[in-house]
Amino acid sequence: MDHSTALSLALPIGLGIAAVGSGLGLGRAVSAAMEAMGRQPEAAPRIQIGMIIGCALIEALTIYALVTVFLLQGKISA
Amino acid sequence: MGSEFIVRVQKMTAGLSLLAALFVCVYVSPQKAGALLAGAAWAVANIALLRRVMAAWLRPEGARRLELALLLAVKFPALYAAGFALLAWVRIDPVWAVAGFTMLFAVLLLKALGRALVWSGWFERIPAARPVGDPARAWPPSRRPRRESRTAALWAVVVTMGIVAAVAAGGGFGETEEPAAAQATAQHEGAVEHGETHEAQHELPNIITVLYAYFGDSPVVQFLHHWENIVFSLLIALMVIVVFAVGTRRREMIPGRLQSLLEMAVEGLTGFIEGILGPRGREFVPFLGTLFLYILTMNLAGLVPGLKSPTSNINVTVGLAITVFLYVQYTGVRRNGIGGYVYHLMGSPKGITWAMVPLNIPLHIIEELARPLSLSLRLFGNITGEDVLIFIFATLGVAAISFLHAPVGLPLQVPFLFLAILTSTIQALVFTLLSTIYFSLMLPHGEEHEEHH
Repeated sequence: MDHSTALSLALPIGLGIAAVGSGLGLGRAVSAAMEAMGRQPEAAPRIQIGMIIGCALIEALTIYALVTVFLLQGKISA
Repeated sequence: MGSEFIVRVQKMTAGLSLLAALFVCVYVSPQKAGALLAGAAWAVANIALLRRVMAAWLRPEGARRLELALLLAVKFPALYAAGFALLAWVRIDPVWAVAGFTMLFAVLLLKALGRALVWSGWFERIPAARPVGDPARAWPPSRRPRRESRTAALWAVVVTMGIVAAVAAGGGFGETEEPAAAQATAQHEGAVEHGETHEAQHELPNIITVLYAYFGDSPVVQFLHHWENIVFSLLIALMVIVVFAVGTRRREMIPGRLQSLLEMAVEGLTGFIEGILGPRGREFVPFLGTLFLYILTMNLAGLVPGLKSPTSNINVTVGLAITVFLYVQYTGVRRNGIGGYVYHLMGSPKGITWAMVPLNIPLHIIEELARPLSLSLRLFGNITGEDVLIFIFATLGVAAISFLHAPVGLPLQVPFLFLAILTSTIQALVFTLLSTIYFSLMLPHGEEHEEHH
């Protein structure tokens, strides 16, 4: 297995695993935010802002994996 | 400003494009002049129909249903079918057609520039430009300065033409080979070109890329293409500066529209930043607020056809992150003193925690260094990701109708443009928020010490 094959196999799998982690984390964050908004609708805007910011931070980790893909995709020469 | 403004814009576009077509016919070729005229005529017809829709729908007596139905169901599809036919069957040159289409926006831009120049009060000799004793008439400016706004617009046209002439003179005209498979989307949203094969293309082309494909020999164009991101970031910075300068030119008690908008933005940002930093955060509001607006505008620029988001390049985001990092460290040293800064770096040990200092120092240093890394990578990854997504779907749309061998494509990337607006705003907000939090961590703490990561 040369490096092109290895990269072509590993990059999508790695990104997929990162996406799974991101999906789980975001699901928990958003569900907690929804629950909090349901309990106290008048605090909804503040909860929403906090949820958006939390989601962006959780998403960042998956974005790091995407950046790694960008960095290495040029090396797939075959 | 309303219907009659649009009529004036239509007339000016028609006149200007006739003039431009004359130039192109003489100096380039009649076919390309025809394409230019066709594109401009299409744009004028488009906006004329839109004006009719507006007039029919928004009448105070209630909408005219029949005319509205006729317009929406018959005339608009006919217009788009005509555009498609022009591109696919008559085979007019798509790039020149897009240039003709852009003439409408050039006219709008020039009119806006003229209006802004007049309203800013640079032409002091106009007595009626800003009625000082009449705050209720701050906007719109009186009708008298219209002639002067035309002068300003004319100057802008002359300068732009001068720049284009300089670019073209450097490289020669019509000497470059035809770029292979030049295609344009059905709504003239952008031109996907496969002229250059230097690197794998992953973004929709912009003005500089198009210039480079046509005038690649000119040293000016090569310079612009090499420093593409710097050029765009400077352009966007200039835009933000001009908007704010014009809006805050004369601070009236009863603000006009632009000043109101800017005040809303500044107040919102001040409230947001002071909510995190407390009242002492007031002095950081200019830096952080400008950071937010600048990053937001840079992100959104990638959605405008012909522009590019500089933040889709790692160098720009790293530059922003390093600036924030340096300013935070400088603030820490200045506020806490060198001793206090090192004490904070050791983890603020009290009593027994002095034993953990050898562990704390490398941890804190790594944490401080990881912050600009994460800031830059997050912004870069998000914006590049959305650019790649839009490019892939635009290419897919072109490939979907490629069996026609026509320079048109389905606009499949439109839903992702809306997603891109959302993520652009969120990423600018997150960048600013995290910078604010880093400031709050570095400043002497009040009560609680939150651990953020």
